Amino acid sequence: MMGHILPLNPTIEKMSDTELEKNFAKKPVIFGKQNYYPVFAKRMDKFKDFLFSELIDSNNIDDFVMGNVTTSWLIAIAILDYADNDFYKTEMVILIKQNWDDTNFKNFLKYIKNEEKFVKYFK
Amino acid sequence: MMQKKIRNDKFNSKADSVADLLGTASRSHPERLKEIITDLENKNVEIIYRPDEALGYSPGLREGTPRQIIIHEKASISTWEHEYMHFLNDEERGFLCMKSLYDSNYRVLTELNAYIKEVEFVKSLSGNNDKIIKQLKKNFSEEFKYIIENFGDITNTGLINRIKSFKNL
Repeated sequence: MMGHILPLNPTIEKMSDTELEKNFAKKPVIFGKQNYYPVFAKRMDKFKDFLFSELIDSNNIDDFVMGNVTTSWLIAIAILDYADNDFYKTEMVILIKQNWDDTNFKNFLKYIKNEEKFVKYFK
Repeated sequence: MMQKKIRNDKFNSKADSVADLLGTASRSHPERLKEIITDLENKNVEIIYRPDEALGYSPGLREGTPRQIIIHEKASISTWEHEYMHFLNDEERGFLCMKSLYDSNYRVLTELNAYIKEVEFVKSLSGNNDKIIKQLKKNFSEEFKYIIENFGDITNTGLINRIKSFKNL
């Protein structure tokens, strides 16, 4: 069995839902903003609406973290990696198709092309 | 990629200041460029040329998956060396893939190595290139700020000392 792709920050993982929200709202975000998304994704039942709004936020779509990888890509990968309900993943794919431009979408698919357990939701 | 921001190697005259001085790598340093490209291709790195102002190195999603270098068609040799440094650092660590993105110490280290390489290269050129060196140091500072805000503080004291030395370089 292949392990997870994104690391979970153990300190953030121990936070309650309220602490997660409160700390993520701080500027700058304590322990680094990007470390929260995998934890939010693991608690998708509670944070689905929030994560989906972050996924299609234009600031995150345009925020290049390293190379071609954007914050929106990392949110999508976090959901594919940690959400335990396939319905959320299917819903996410619809949102991506509606909100990311074609080039960005194609680049993302190209980046995840070898990860069959991710790609299947986009077919 | 990129609303043409400087952070994260966004390509513009600020991100690739050396392009203004030397022009495209294929004309200024064709042999060195060939060496870099050959090494990258032999190691299965996808090189994605872009006509827009985009550049950067993306680690693979998982071990064994393709890594990418996104680069402007007319990037300078200094920018090629910068992105190549990210690849070499990734290779030295055995390609930790996405996990490396979340390691602030590593991210800052590889940016520092890449910018030191660029500054030393510019210093080796003739003429007064202080403005370019200043811009490169500013670019590093912006990258540093972005990394710690997004992925958390660095903890490696040796690295902190190297950053201080770089600022005085």
